[in-house]
Amino acid sequence: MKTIDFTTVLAISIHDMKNSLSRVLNALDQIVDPETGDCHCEAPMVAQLQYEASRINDNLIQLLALYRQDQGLYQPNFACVSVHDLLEDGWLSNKPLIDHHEIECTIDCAPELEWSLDRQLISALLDNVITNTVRYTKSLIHLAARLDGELLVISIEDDGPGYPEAMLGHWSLDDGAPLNQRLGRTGVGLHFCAMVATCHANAAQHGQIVLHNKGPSGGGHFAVFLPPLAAG
Amino acid sequence: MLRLKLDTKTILIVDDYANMRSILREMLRTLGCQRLIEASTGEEALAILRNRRIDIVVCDYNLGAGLDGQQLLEQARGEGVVGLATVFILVTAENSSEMILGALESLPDEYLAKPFTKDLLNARLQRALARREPLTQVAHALTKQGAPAALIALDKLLAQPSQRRLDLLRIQADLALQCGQLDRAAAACEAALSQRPLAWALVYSGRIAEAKQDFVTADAQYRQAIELTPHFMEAHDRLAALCESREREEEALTLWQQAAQRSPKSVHRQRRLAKLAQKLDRPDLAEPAWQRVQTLAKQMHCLTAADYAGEVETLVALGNLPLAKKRCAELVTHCRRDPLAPWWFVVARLHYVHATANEEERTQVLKLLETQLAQEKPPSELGQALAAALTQLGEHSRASLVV
Repeated sequence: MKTIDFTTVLAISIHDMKNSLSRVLNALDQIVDPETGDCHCEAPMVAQLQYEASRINDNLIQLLALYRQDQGLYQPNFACVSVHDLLEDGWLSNKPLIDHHEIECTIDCAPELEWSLDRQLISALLDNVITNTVRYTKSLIHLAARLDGELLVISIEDDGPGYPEAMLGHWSLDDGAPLNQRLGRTGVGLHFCAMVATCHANAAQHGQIVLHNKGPSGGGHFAVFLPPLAAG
Repeated sequence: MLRLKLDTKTILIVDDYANMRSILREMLRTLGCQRLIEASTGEEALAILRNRRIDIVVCDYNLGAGLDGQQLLEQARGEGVVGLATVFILVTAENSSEMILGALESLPDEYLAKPFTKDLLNARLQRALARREPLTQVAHALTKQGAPAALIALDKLLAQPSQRRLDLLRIQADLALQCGQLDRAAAACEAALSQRPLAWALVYSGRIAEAKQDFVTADAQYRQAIELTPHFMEAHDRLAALCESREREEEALTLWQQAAQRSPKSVHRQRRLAKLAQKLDRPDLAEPAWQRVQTLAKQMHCLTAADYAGEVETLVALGNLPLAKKRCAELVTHCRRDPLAPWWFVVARLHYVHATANEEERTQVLKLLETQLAQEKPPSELGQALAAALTQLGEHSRASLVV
C-alpha cells in the first residue's frame, strides 16, 4: 500500500478539530448567561455539540489508524461478524443526532449475513460516513448490505444534494487514491475509507470504495466492496 | 432489535474512575437496570464474582495498578465464576486497540469503545444476552452436576435450529473433552469444520489427537490453526507444549518465544518460556521472562516460591549474585502462604551457594535441608529441582536421597 505524507494529514485534521472546538466553545458561550451565570440549553445546541464531539472523535480515530498504517504498526484483525449488527451499531452510535434531525434511518440486511472483516476499522468507516451523511441528508439514511457475486457490499445512501463531483468514482490505495489536499478534511476521510477498504485483501483482490449520486432524488450513495477473507 | 428485560439482571460495573462508574450507572438505570453493583478494582470485582451470582459484567480495560479487565476476565473464567451464561462486556479506551485485540486469549462477549451512546450499550447487552441466556440450563448443570450433565442439557439446544450453532458446537467440544468423551468432541469439531475452517475446532481436534497419542496429527492441526488465525494464542501454546513434551526442546523454545512476543501478558506462557530457556542453558532468554512473571504474577496474586527459585537459578547463571540474594530473601517474606516455600528456599539457596562457594553458607543450607528432610519427604514436584541443585554442588549421595 502506498504511504501518505502523514504530516499533511495531521495538519488537515488538526485544522478541522480546531474548527470543531471553536464551535463547541462558541456554543458553550451562548449557553451560559454572562449576567446571571444561568445555563439554558436548547435542543439544537445540544445537537450541535454532539455533532462536533462526534466529528472530533472520528478525526482522532482516523488519525490514529492512519498513523499506525503509515508506520506499519497496524495488524488488521479479521474475524467473522454479523453484518446486520455492524450496521445497527453504526445507527445506534449516531442515534442522538439522527433523532434530533428527525432523520429516518433504515437498515436492509439479512440477519444471518456474516462476513470476515476488521470490525474496528469498518465501524470507524461507517461512523465516519454516517456522521457526514447526517449533516447533508434531507430526511433519510439507508444502510444496506448484500452479496454482489463473491463480494460483500455495504452501502450508505441519503436523499441530500449528493457528493461533490471531485469525490465521485472508485477509490482504493492501490489505484493511487492520492490524498486530495484541496478536499481538506473530506480528502482525509476519503483516504481513510480507501485505506480501510484496501487493507481488506485476499491473494487475488482487495476492497474498494465507490461514491455515486444515485441515492433517492440524486442523493449520495457510498459503497464499500469487501472480498471474502479467511478468519478463525 | 431483541428486547430482553434487564430489570431482573444483576450487573457488575467495574471501573477505577468514580466518574465513569456513575456515567455507566446512569446509562444502565435509563435502560431499566435495577440491580447494580460497583467495583473499582479487578481484585474487588473478582471477590464479588466469587461470592454472588452476576448476570452481566461491564468492565473497563484499564483498572489502574492491579488486574486489568482482560486479566480479570481470564482469571474469572478460569475459576468458573464467569460461567457459560454470564455476559462480559469489555470497555476500551480506543477503537482500534490491537494491544487488546492483537492476541485472542479469552474473548469477552463484546468490546465497547469509548465514547459510546446508551443505545449502543443497550444493543450490545441485548445481543450478548440473547446469546448467553439459552445457556443458563447448561451452565447450571455444569456447576451443580458437572460436564456430563451439561452435555445432556446442551444436546437439547443443539436439537433446535439456532443461529449460534457454531458457539454451541464449541462448548460441546470443550465439555466432551473435559469428561474424556473423545469421539463426541471429535464429532462436534467435524460438524463445525464442515461449515468453515475454524481455529478453535482445529485446536480441539489437535487435543483429541494428542489424547489418542497421535502426535503427528496434533502437530499438524495446531500449525493449521496458527496459519488460519495467527493471533489465536491457544494454538501456539499447545504446539509449543507438544514439542516440549516430545523432546523437541529447541523448537519448543523458539515457539514459546514467538508466542510470548505476540502476547506477552500471560503468566503461564512466560513461566514456560523461562523454565525451558533455563533448562537449555539460555539464561539470557530466561531472565526477561522471569521479570515478566514477577510483574504479571504479582498483579494476579499468583507469584509462587517456585518462581522465585527459578529466577534465582537464572540470576546465578548470569552472575548477578546481589539480585539472586535479594530474591532469596523475598521468597521468604512474600511467599509465607505457599506451603512449598521452605523447600523452594533450599533450592534457591543451593544455587546461590554454588556460585558464592562460601563454605559457611553451604554448610548452613545443607543443615537446613537435613532439618526439613527429618520432618517430611520433599514433595514430588520438587524432587528433581532439589536433586539437580545438589548434584551441581557435588552432593551426589544427598541428591539420590531426595528423588
